[in-house]
Amino acid sequence: MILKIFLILLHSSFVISADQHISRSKIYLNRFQLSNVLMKHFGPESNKFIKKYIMKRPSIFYGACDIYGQVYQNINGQAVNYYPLSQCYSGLNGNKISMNAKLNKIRQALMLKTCISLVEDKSTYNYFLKEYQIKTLKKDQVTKSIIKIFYKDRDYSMKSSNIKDLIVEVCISKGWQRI
Amino acid sequence: MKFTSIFLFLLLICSCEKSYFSNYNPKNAKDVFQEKCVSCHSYLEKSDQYLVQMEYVKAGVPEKSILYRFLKNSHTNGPENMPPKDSLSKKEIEMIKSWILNLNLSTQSSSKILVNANNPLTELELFNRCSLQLTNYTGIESNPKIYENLKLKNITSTQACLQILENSHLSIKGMLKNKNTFSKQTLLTFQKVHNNWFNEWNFFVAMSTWGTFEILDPGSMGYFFTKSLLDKEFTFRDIFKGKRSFEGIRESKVEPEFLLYKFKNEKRYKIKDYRFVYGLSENGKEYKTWNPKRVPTGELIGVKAIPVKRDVVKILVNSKDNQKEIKPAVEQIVNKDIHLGLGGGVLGSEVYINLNLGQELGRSMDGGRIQPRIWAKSVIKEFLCRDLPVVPITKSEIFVNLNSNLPFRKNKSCMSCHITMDPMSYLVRNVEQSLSADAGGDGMIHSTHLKFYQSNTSLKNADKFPDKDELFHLRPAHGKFIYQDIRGNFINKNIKTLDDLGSALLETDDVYLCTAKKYLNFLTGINVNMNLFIDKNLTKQELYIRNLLEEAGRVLKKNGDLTDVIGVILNSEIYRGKDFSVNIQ
Ligand code: HEC
Ligand code: HEC
Repeated sequence: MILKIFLILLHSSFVISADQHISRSKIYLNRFQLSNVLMKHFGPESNKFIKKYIMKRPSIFYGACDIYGQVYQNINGQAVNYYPLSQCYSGLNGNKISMNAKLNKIRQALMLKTCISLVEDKSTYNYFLKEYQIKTLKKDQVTKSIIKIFYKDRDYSMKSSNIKDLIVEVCISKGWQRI
Repeated sequence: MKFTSIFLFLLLICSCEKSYFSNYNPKNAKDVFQEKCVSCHSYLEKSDQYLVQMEYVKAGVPEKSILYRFLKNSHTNGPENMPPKDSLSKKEIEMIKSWILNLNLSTQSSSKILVNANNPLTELELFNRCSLQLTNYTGIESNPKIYENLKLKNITSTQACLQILENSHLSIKGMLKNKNTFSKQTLLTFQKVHNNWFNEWNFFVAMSTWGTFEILDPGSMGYFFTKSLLDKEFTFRDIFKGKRSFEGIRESKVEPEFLLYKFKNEKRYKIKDYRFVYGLSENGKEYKTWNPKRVPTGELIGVKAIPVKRDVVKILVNSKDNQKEIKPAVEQIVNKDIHLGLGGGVLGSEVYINLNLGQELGRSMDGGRIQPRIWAKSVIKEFLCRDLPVVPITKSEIFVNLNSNLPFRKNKSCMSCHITMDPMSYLVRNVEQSLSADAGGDGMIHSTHLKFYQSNTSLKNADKFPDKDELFHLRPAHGKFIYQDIRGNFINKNIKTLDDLGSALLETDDVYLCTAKKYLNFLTGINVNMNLFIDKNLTKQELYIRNLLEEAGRVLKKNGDLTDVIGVILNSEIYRGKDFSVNIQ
């Protein structure tokens, strides 16, 4: 009984101090920002995965399309858009999707697919190793520097030990995807 | 002979450096800035207060002022590389120095609550944050030079972020002054952000004319704001003035061959298979064709006013061919410039009214039940961020008319909404939803337009709030702005034009707070309900955010520059917090 009253009190005091007129949603990198960051790490070849798992899914990764940025050419009887960055993949209503991305489960799943593809593909994996000179590092430096690539000077701890697993583990983590 | 010499003379004037003809004779620092800096840094035209607040200068201490440390030969161990392709005389440097020495301003923070950022980001992280938001690239990619300056602590992250904006400024002709990947991205990002401030966009849903997308850009409203943000000659007030509309300047490496609207499970239509038609096809005759310019496609590189009379449609029709039994279509000769609005800038722009009219095809306004109320409601919602009703019942009561046949006129609670919408919508009474042709498809594009009735000045406003007036749509489009603003001021104004309505909105604080709140949402993910400005019982966090928005709103009202709103937010403690939150001290 006393506990109950205590809980009610606790609850009501919480309500009183809660913000009524503001609400927040954490901002994550949208598909354009995410694509640029990943391309920087994994090179131009990564585009094929990024396009498939990220760019084509504006409802998951957010970022409005640009109706008039699309220019469709006739290539062998097919309509092909010369400026895929603008493309409205799911119809013109894609022009109203928020620029601020939110997190969701499907996003996490697609990030896993993307990151695994990026380390399993030879050219993107090698690009990463070369770009950040991973092979030249001492063993105990590797984890730290892979974290640094994504997190700059922020802390992040990892469990994996082999390089590919390490990269995937950081790559799918949410922290660096925050704005 | 005479002509060639005049021509040569003109050529000379145009092609010469401006300093060649103007006799530049600086009297103070501001003159120097004007001549040697503002072409690249428009902020140097702003007030002393602003320059101090944004930490470009430290009043009284030149050697600690970023601005001074950037000057060539300032001997401060600073970057000393401004102006890049020009020089400064000793006298000019002295003028700037003495201006800083004599500045007598303190950086009082205007928010009454002391806060600091919760888990603050470093300056470099902050620049990355805004660079990603504005250009989609990290700071080191989007602007390595600025990044370097930031690393050396020559500038602050807010200044670095504002420089990104500055780099995307538009020239007099509306083009990006520096066209590169990052300035193009910034321009496009803001156009998308502004476009998202408006709800209605789909010509197909509104009037089932998919072809309208080929000649009218539903992002038109966004361009007013984008232009205002990036063209320093086009102030916030200008958004709500005049009849011109704007469009994107775009460039493309290839010619478009297909139309933009695509039906599910159908192939894209080819441009060459379609023509724009107008009028009716009577007695088996073909439709007439016209050639409006298509909305430009390709990469966005600027914003420009659409030339007057570029696209004129001769005839509009007031019904569809599948409505023959109910309402046979009639041709109406209009010779209408399809981009010229009714005034009030964005408020009366063709696209905004077209998408928000909410009345059936060919139906004229009657002053009673039939009104473009949706338009009025949208103006209140989208420019002032307010939901109806805004007029309290105690005040709507005086407008109740028990003799009316219309139920909402007899009831004060109905009137609390209708008294704002109805007389405001009278301002667009001369408008009627129309089509270029009564049918489309099969190689023909018909499109949605507005017919404007020429108002007949010999007609007076017979009755202030008629129940039903057959001539209503022909009378002068006078209306009223009856509104209770966010401060609780009750406004009841006669309004004669949409430009006047624009001015009336600009007199409220609502329009500025509304705009500030939208940018806050874009930059921090924080969503604010307008009751924040009304309610007296606020948490400290709320009070802090309210003060921040009040400040942003105040500078916008004062200077009419959207950049200032962004500057205030970027410079705030909340923007520095990792989660966009602050600790209250
Ligand atoms: C031709 C264009 C140009 C002119 C003219 C110019 N600047 Fe700059 N300025 C730049 C660029 C580009 C940067 C950023 C890169 C850098 O630091 O070199 C910059 C950076 C600065 C900065 C650092 C803060 C910021 O806004 O990025 C200051 C302060 C500055 N300039 C002051 C001045 C002053 C004062 C003048 C006139 C005496 C001037 N500049 C003239 C192009 C110009
Ligand atoms: C919360 C604000 C609000 C209140 C309160 C309100 N209305 Fe409305 N009313 C609207 C809006 C917005 C429209 C225009 C949208 C539409 O036409 O559907 C409208 C339109 C109408 C129309 C025109 C519909 C048409 O045929 O176009 C009628 C009739 C009407 N209202 C009657 C009433 C009556 C009766 C009451 C009181 C019982 C009332 N309204 C109270 C907001 C309000």
